Amino acid sequence: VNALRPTAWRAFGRPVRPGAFVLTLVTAILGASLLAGVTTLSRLLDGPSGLVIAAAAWFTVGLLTGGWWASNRRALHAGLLFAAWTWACLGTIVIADTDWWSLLGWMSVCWALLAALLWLQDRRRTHAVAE
Amino acid sequence: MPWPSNDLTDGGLVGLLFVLGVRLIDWVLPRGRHWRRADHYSTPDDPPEEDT
Repeated sequence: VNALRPTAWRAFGRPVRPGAFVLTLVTAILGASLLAGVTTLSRLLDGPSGLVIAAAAWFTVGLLTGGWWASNRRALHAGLLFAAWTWACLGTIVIADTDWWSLLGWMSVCWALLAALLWLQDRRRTHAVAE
Repeated sequence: MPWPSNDLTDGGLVGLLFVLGVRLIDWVLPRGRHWRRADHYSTPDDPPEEDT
């Protein structure tokens, strides 16, 4: 758990959070993959579900990146919760549409869990700092 | 009552329930000093973390 805490590493004068950074990256890849329309995933989600998840993914990336850039904790927290929703939604659709042993589906569930755990941990840090 | 069988509705509902569940855990879990005490990586001598 300690590995997910903010480190002393900095980029553009702002502390880098490895967990949130990788979550932003993978959510951006999800959004790009759905928009490109050439991947297995985009062929599976070719209806409104693909559009909604792509929109949620890009909104999440915007919140996480903007929250990090502006050092806005509320935006970061909203981004983490949106990421949890997006990946849980994707995991459910993929598992329901393919089969119970879909690797992509369970990996999506893992990303949703990571987003939720990062949010829970950061909420505790916020309260610890506030005291 | 028939369960909505639309993929997006199912996924959206499961996602929403997941987020609500996490918020419930956040509400139940102890905060502040309880968490600090349980964190073996921080000691009372640690400087306060930056509010970023």
